Amino acid sequence: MRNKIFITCLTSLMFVSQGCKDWLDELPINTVTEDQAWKSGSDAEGAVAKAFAIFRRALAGLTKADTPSTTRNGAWGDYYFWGDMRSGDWITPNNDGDWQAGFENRLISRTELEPMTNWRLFYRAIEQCNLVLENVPNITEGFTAERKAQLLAEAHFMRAMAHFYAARIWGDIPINLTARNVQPLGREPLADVMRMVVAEADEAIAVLPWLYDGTRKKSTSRGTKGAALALKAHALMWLKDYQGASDAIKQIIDEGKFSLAPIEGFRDMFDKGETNEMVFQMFYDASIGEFSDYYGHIMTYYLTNPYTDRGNLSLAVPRSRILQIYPDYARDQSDKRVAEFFQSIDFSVGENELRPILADPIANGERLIMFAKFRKAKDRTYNLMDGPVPIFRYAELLLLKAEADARLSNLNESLANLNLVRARAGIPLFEKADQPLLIEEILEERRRELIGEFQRVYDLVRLGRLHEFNSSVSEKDEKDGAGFFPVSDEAFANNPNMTQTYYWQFNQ
Amino acid sequence: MKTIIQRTCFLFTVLMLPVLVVAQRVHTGKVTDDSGEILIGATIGVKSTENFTTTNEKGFYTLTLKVGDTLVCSYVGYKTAEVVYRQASNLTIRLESNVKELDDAIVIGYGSKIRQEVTGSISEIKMDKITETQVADSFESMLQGKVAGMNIQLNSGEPGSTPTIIIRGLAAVSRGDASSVSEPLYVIDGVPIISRSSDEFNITSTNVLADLNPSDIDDVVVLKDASAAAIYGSRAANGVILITTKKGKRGKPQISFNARTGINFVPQLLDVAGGVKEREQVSRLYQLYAPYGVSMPAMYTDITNPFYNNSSDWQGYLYNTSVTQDYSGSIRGAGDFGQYSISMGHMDNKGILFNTGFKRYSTMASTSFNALKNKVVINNTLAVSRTNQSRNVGALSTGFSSLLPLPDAPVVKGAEVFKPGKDSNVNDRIRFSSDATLNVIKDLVYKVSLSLEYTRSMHDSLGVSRRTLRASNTSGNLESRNLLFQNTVTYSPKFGDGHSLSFLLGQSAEKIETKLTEVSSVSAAPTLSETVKWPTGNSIGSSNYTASSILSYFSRLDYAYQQKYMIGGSLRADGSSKFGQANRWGIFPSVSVGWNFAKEGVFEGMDWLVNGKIRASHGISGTTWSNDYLALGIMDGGKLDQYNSLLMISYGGIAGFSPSWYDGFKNENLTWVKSQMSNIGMDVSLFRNKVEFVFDAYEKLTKGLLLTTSLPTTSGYNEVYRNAANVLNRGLEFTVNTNMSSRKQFNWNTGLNFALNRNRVVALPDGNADIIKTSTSGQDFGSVVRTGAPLNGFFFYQSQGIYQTEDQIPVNPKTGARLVGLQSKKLAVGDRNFKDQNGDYIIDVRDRIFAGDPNPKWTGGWTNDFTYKNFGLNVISTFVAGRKIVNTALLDRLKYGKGFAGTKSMPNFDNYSIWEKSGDMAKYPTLNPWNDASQIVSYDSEYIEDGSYFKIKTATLSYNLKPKMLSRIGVGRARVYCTLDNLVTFQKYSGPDAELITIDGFDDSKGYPMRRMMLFGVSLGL
Repeated sequence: MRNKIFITCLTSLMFVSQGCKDWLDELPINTVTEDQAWKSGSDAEGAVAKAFAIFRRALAGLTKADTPSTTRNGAWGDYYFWGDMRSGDWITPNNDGDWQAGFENRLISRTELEPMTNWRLFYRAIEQCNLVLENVPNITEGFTAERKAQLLAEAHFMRAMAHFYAARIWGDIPINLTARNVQPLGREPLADVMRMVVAEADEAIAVLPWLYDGTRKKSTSRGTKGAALALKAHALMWLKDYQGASDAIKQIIDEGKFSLAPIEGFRDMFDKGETNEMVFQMFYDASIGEFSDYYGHIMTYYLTNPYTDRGNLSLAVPRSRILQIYPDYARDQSDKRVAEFFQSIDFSVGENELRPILADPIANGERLIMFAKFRKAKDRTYNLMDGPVPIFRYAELLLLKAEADARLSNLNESLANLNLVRARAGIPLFEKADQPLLIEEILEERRRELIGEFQRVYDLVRLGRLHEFNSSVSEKDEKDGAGFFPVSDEAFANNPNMTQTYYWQFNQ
Repeated sequence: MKTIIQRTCFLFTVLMLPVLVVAQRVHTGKVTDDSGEILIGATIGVKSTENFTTTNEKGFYTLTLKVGDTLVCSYVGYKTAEVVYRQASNLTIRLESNVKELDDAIVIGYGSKIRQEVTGSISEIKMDKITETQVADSFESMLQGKVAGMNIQLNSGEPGSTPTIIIRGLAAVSRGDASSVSEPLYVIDGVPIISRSSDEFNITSTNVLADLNPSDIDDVVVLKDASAAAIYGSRAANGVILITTKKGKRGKPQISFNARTGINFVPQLLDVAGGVKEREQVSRLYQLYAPYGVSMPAMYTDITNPFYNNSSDWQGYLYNTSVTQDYSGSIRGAGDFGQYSISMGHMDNKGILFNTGFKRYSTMASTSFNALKNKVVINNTLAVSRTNQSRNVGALSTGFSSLLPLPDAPVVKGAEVFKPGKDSNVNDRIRFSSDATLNVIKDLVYKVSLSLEYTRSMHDSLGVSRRTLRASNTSGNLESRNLLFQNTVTYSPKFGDGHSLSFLLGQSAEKIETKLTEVSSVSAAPTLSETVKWPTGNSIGSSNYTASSILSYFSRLDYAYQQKYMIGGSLRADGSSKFGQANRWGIFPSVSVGWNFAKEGVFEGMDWLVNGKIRASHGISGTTWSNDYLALGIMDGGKLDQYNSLLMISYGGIAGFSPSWYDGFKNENLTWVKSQMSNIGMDVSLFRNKVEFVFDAYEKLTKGLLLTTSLPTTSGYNEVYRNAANVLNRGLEFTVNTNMSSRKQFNWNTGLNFALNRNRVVALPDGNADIIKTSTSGQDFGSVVRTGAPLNGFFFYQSQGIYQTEDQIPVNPKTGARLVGLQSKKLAVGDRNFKDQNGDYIIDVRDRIFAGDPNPKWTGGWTNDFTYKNFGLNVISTFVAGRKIVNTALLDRLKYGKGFAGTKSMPNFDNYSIWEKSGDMAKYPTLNPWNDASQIVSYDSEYIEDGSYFKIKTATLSYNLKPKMLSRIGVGRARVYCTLDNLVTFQKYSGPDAELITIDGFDDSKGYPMRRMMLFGVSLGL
């Protein structure tokens, strides 16, 4: 008997020691660990796509899911607030205090605007690219060498893009080009940032294809040669290297892959992102589950019934300002863009019905015209909003080249590109070959063409002219950095090297 | 069967009686057990004769005796008693239960120990007395005030909520605002159980331990010091709570039944200005502060508005007297075959707040079989339970403005203005454990045990937002499996002249897996469906999984000489899957010594000294963290956003992984939190155990506390984890127990314990730099961890009153700029005057100073037990002293935003000193809802209050029914009782209850008041 017990004990002990060999190796099955994350080509594909996804979220805005220091439940579509809010063209018909503070460049006083001062998500996109550039070179399986090079080039592109976008918002920003960089980085001069962007873009341009397989939308929402050239051109404009900028855009034009869409194609372009005109955009598509709802898209704030559930207008361009910006429309209603960009709603119809859209886009009163450049289905909901967020567009690049050429005194070249855009809009061609007048007209044309398209404020800040259009900003303010957003408190945590923009040190 | 035998014996006795009558001096007596209960069928007779009999059905025997005879009385399950007959008239013999012999032993980790030989700091609580007359959701709250150094606070009065237990001081830092608790390890009958799920996986709010019916617990042993706890290694740093469930005892079958019903009374609620008063207060605020062009809503001005004259008592409507019912029954017994124990219980605790409550259904069966002539003992335990907590979804709030109509008001009836919603939290647990003990040879015991634990939590909620009229449904299911396999060998020989040795060698392997499946939907149209239905094609839920395993080897050696000198040591090695390969194993040693000085010759003849022992111990134990994969550098695939969009998951249809920005990156160096504890103690019993004194002094240094450090935003990461902070807890513990019985009929037992604990952060990373935790309300308000200060210490803005005039607001002489208020707000007269500590003319996080310690200095309890004849009175009090708390609840009610009118109830401003005009000597700054800078913040030193309290927790009056009456109805023992729970609290705190405070010292306004309960019950033993 005793022997039997003894044997039982022994066998069970052996069983235990056998089973214990791998007992302590627990790996997650719901996700992967760092060691598992960089094994094959598909890991690399996913990681690069993730960098774009993070950048898309960075543009939409920071929420409390990203940092506990913000209380905002959902993103507002911050690309608008950075790129358009302070242009002086906008009003808030429903007297929203936060919008009003934003128009007046009071960016610190409102806690609700605080998330817009936080660049955390841009640096997340950058870190994701840093990780890709660190780890993907070691991956050998599951993709061709060509594809591998493309993915690495895309990471360079996106890293440059995120730095570029942040620099347009905050001015001097830290540069982070190494993975797991927990050093307290200080801010680098804007010019240094732009030079880094150009260098990174050059690396990408050498490798990236012009287009990928698949739809135009899919293709132009990733890093392509065109997008990288456009990025380079923009960065060079900030560096006042107009020849470089002009040359970069010339490459895009010469390739012939992009063209101006007809006016009738605007809905495809602005509602669906499906067009030959888009050079770089953020991908949204409800049919594959990538959409916004109430939060996350700027359409929430400027569309009303019949598109959304909103009963009143929250963000709009006043009627008098529309007539001022589009003088041709004011004169003879020739500018076809007005009807594409603005609509008047029949507010006499009850809130619970689909309100009809009036034939005359500016039929309504001063504060009642809806900005409708980007539209969605007329279903009175916020559901499934998937309008594109354009970053670079062919018409925009033509105008940028026109500006560069004008500044280089290549006036004919400049006029030609300007008039391509004007001709499409149905307004008379501009003929005055006078450099200052031409530069001014190009800026106005950019204002007309790119209204509400997240470019205007950057143009004005780049040229140091925000104070001319925004009465809340004085010339001295702008010299002190009022055109840039303040740096959030969070950026100062654990970072003794962080500094506040000069203007915002004194203007709380 | 037994009764039949007893009856037969009785018949036999009756038949024999005439024969015995012939003899001389016939005496009649009674045989009872130690509680006075009669024993039927006990054998009694004169020693060394054949003159024997058994007791009859009333416990009486009749014997022929002469003076000097020695009576021998025996009964199964009781010690045999010998009594010399000295002509007493009433010969009642009391038999002591056999089981009592075991009472000298105390359960410790992986075994038991003779109390005399214990060298660690161990406290034992017998639960029977407590559970018989008290009712509670969980056993932890019943332990409140029972053990010196174990601080238990009931932070909420909500049924099913989790009390916090901190043994010997806090040693945990939390991420963010939340207050984290250093949780002890819970072990039931030798098996560590799932006591909490990590936050990410915690879908129900119910206390995980509330599924254990307190009535099933026999005793609870708290291992406080390292020498006692270190045998549990990596999870023992915060103490170990060993729970032993009730088992059958030898003797007659123990059948018991306990039924009680309690009435829960609503305590004092928040003060509310109702109707006219609220309207007056709102219009006063508008008059005083409203900017030009802003006028009051019509609700306040238009007397034809149906809400104008409304005065709803929301608290009165939603808080109501409720009923708690609790039933438990059990059958237990034991014999040579083994033992059996079956119990069932049901509790239904209805909350005083509308829609809230807690229900428990539990059953437990435990059997032991002795086989092969006691060579093998096989134990099986199966416990199955369900708890069901329902919560208020918040669609109906007690804080609504009194001007809003109640749901049953005619104005709104039928309009479904207030959708009640639903929130149910069901926890199921099945615990099965099986073990076999083999007595291999003399003194050598081998035990193998396998236990499986399965828990499931289901959370279903339906809520309808009043603002957007969107309905949101969530449904979650969480399953955890815990597998534990343990082998131990114990060799405990006794040799020579009182040498005793005990050697334990063991191994255990444990694996815990958790899986979560959750779906939720938000639909635009209000729906009453309580299940999740998908309005569109994207029918995607989410699931999550986590697992961890531990492999351990442990051993303990104890040596005692004549129970006078003791020395012991233990060593445990734990390997955990949570760590990187490099840091996988942790070693946890401990040593202890003890000296029973009372047994020395010097004390011979000093009868008053019954027992005296000095103990000392030192050891290391550990804690881990709840995130199983933290050290591995976990990647994140993203999750569905609130609209079930894939924006955070994929881009252009391609999904990928990014780092999980909150958990930092791979860190192979993350390892155990190690706790070094030294303990010196003394136990003294005096005057025939009438006075008992226990004293302990300890020092616990917790090293490498896991801490998150925020990283610069430019890194992309939010935080990184490090083994960083060192925390020191030092304390003293005193326990005095007395047992006074002035006369036979009167008994008075007291138990007083109190403990002093001081908590201090002794080291932080980066040259002891302050760690400012991120806060949901911005950088200026996070908690601060600083060396030299206690954990959770208040670092507040120092109040200097209120700015009475413009010129009191300081102006920077260099720049001419005025002092900038908190969060860059412009200061005005009537705002709080915070001291600008660093003189930079900006009030920000750098101006905070240490302002108080929310960790209680003194905690303790005082129990008094009086018995007189059959009456018993038991009073339990608990107290806390030297604690600072913040009345956040009131602050939250005094904070008004622009749209304040009609949103929430208001306190009656007359009761508070609120600043209105220059010269007002007020405590609270101006309530201007339009002023950004009113500076009513919780981090204001003005609102720190004394959190000390003395609480008479329960008072029980009980009466034992007379056995005579009972025996007629076949009941052996019966007690009726009435218990008052949460009787009275003495406190200085101006808020409702100084105990309902988070452990970091804030009275968060979500507080659910603690009901007062009057409980009536009857407990029967058959």
